[in-house]
Amino acid sequence: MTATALPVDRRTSAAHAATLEAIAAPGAWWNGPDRLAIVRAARTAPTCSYCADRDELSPAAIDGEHDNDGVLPPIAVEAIHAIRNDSGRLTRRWFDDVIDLGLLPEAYVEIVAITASSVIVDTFAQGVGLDMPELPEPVNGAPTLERSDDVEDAGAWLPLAREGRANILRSLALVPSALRLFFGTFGRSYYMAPDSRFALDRAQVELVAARVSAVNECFY
Amino acid sequence: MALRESVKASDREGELDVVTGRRDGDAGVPHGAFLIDLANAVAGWHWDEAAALRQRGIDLIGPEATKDAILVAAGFNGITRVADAIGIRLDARTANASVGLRAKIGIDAFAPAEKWTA
Repeated sequence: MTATALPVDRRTSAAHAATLEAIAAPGAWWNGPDRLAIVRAARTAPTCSYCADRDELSPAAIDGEHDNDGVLPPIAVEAIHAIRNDSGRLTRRWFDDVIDLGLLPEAYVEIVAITASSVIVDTFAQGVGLDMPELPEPVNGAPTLERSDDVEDAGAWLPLAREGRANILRSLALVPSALRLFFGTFGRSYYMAPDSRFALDRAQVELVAARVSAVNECFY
Repeated sequence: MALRESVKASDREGELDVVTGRRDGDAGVPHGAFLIDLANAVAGWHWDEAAALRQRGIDLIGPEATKDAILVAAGFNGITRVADAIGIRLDARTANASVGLRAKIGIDAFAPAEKWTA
């Protein structure tokens, strides 16, 4: 913690700690050690020399190696680094290549949820002046191989939940535990519950949200 | 989602030029220029800059509000990645309602044809 770190409320600390504990446990398509390796890969991505040197996202044309600790398959590391470093440049072709090269769609959804959740936890910690949180010990156990059939094609790269008031809220539904993980983390950052409160007014919250979306060149 | 909700909340379409970086300003929001600087630093992971803005935020809007701005920015740094990585499209109703606005502020440039073309 630096001298200028901001105090963090107990609910946010608890929510983010719960996120990391949940990641350390077996998931639907990855076990606990693998899920923690996904977080480590996301943390390594900003300094990955391979990511820094390439101009185009194309897993089919990988002619180098991402910086990684060797725990995850290379195509998983490709997905994590691209999502972490270049999400605004992801295309349908890139996604199709990732799947064609052997990553199951369900495993990809879980990677998206873990990577994005860890981005929230780590961005917040560093933003308030703290170190990135230490990762818990992994919990042993096998993945559940959970997959929802309550999904439909809605024009996205992956099927979305049949029900939902916005596509983003339907987006990870192919793997329900991934959806719960991500929105359990994101929930502290926006008006996701009736008791959501911020020390900013609504217009200020929306301004920050909109500017971050623009910085990330997010169409949605 | 954020831009759409911002428009709903504020009904100030012209001020979205500030959000997209087309011009400087506060977007008509209290301490808006500071919040945009903080959002830029946090979303871009510019931690030295964020540290300086943190200190400024304590004096300007208080530590709790500064922390909450960082919390919102962190959340949207995550959710934009979900939206982009799943390749979701705009809900039809919103897309139809915002055609003019999206063209005006240039956000359609964030969704080139290859985003959804195999």
